[in-house]
Amino acid sequence: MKKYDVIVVGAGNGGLAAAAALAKGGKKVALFEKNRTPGGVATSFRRGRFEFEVSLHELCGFGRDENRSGSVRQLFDFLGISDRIEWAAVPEAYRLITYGSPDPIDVTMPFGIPQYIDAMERYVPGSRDTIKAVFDLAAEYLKATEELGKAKSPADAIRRLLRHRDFLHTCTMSLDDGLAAAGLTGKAADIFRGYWAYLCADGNDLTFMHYLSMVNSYIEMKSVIPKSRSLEMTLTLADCLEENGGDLYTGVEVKTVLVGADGVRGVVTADGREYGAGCVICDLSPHTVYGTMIDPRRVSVSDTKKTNARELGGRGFCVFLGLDRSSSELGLNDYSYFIYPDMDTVKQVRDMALPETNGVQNTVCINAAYPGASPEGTCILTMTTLFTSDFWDGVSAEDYHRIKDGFTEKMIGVFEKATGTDIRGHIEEMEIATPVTFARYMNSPGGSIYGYKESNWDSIFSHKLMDKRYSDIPGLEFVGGYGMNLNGYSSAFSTGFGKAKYILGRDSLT
Amino acid sequence: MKHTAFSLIRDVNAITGIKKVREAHFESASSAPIKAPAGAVAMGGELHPERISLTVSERENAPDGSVALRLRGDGGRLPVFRPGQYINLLIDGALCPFFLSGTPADALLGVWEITVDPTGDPAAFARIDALREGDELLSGPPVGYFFRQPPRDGETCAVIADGTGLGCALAMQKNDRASAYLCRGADDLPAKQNIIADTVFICGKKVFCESASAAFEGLRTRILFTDAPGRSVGREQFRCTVIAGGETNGLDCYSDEPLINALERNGILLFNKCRTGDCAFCRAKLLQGRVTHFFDSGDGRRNADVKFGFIHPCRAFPDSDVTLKY
Repeated sequence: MKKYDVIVVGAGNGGLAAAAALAKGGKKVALFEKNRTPGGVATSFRRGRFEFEVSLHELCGFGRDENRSGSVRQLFDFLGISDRIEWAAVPEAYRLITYGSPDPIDVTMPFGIPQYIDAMERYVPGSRDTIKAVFDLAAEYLKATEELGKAKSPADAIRRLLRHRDFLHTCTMSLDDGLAAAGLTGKAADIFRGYWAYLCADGNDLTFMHYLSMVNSYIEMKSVIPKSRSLEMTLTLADCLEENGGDLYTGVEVKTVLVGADGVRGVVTADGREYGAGCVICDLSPHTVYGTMIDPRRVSVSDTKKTNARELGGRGFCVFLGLDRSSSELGLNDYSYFIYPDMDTVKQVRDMALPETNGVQNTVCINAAYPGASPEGTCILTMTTLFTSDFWDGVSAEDYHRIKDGFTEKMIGVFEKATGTDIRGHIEEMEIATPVTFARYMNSPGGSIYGYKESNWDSIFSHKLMDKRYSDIPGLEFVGGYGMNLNGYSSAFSTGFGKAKYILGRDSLT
Repeated sequence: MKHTAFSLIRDVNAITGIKKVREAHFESASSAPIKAPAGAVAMGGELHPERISLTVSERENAPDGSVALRLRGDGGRLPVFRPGQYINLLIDGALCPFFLSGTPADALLGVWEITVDPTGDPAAFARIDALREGDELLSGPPVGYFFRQPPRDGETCAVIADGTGLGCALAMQKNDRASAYLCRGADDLPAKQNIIADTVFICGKKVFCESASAAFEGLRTRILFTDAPGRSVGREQFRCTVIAGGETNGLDCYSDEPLINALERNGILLFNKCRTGDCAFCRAKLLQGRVTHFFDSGDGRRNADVKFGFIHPCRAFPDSDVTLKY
């Protein structure tokens, strides 16, 4: 039996980050991935003359220009790969369009805090001071979070936070309550809430702290994309793992995590081979790991209840379009489009349960950031929405294609209506990914691409403050979208890096 | 924000409050064994199983010489498909593509149909012609992107095929109400003015497709080549080393055939679907050596795959000894 210090199961962003960082830190690591291409949905595919990004909208936490201090940058610098990837700058923060309300919004918000504040003042005269105060609060959050990271116990954490009263006052609040406490209301608050669908929870379930930190990170650090799609990051991380002596097994599925009385002992792959390790890091859902990969007698009542208490996050649905006109010919000058019926997030999340009612989409025109992303005279549009129920778990084979096609027509229609652009006359290539596609490719329950649903009692803040570990089984760890930092590229990378640092003994907290 | 001593107590209590709510959520949750929601995962498996066992349940020889086989799955329904998709049947150690010529409704009843034409690829026709009722076969799932997508292709379509594309034409005719034209060659094409359709699907050998495409210039077309370009060079023998799943195998390969053929001949049935370089399913990392790719047009690989030295063995011809890693 081959033995490793650490075995990582699943080569998504979290698994790749953990494995590469551990190998770099001198550990003997194996990374197993059931698909033959690593990356999970951090990948791309070709149709005709187009190469479509599957999941990355924009990478936050890498930074560019004057600000290069984000968490992803720290990981990539640690691995020495920041300059091995060719980056393109995302031009603006977002265009927000509401198409179903009596008072529709259509705004384009820039990167850079002063620029963002100016734009907000232009769209909502008189909002300057309040929006500035919100970004000041975000700056205080960064300092407070740093303090929180040094805390030795919950009591110590509260003691440290006493120096950050505004943080202490708002850190437990929901997004909507936090915005109200900061005095941001009406249209300015609606514009500020534009990113909400990136987290797929409503203004009551999203925590103010999480949302504000995310927005601040985007607006202050700005975002980038790798020119050769997220696959470029994936393959760079995979190379980095192998260069540092790690073993990458692609096309090899781990079926069982072996657990003894003293904790994790290793894994068994689909072909029946055993690999030993005292630490197994899973870039998979706890539902899948506890429910299908571990002897149920070894799973504690506490872990069972914690897992059963959690709800799945957004189930992904994407429409990939290769168009036979350039983005400027079509008038698509913006990169990221948040398109919502209106800004009632509670209603939107509820309506995202079913195809008939789901009217939300985040659409990206990659050419606006990187004109060379497709041949001259063409462009690529990727439309993404999320489903907030188990609707797709119940769709039968008889109905599958009809529902998939019908909802695709609807998404294209919504984009055409919201932007006034003719898309249907220009589609040269198209592909559709449903929650079934994501479920099959990633073995992700329900086709969730967003890990577990965020709520006030189950947020990054409550994780950090209250969970010492995610599992009662010694040596079993979780990273990625189902890890402690919730979903998203930068979150997944940081859970992997954080876990690696913890195992390498460089950090006291997980 | 203004803060008072009272609000401090309230704020600290709010943190402990969340802790309590969190604990209450965990406490009230079910302690029944964890079950991941399985519907979408199961549907994914139903639509795209890795391998399917089939039995030839019926064979029909049409007067025009074409042969239709009805293939029954060993249990219940077979994966539904899009008219124009194909399956790969494992015959003589190689995965060979055949268009599904029946209907998705029949698939739900557990039956797929394939139809081959004697004017198509002779080797493919011979493989099917050799099969009899009761013969057993292994198949991959339905694959391929050559099917009607209404937002892109509109509501009406026509399909024009040579013998290699007969199955595709039949499926589109039955399911998409396409006007179907089976042509014996490039001089057998229908007149342009007779084609009334939003999109014309052209399916056949490259030479046929190119003639059809020229004849229907101005119409909206989608084209699928059923043959892949070969390489006409003198045959040179090389050694190919394959590392897969931690195991290493060595085999002979030749400069005038795609690497995937050498792999299959040696029983290393790795992964392939399209054999035209499109699907990236057979993708492998070239650790040592040189190959030349022959794609229909452009480089069918993803940018990052090119940058990191991955090749598509179904379209890669060796120029030296090579080492591949899967």
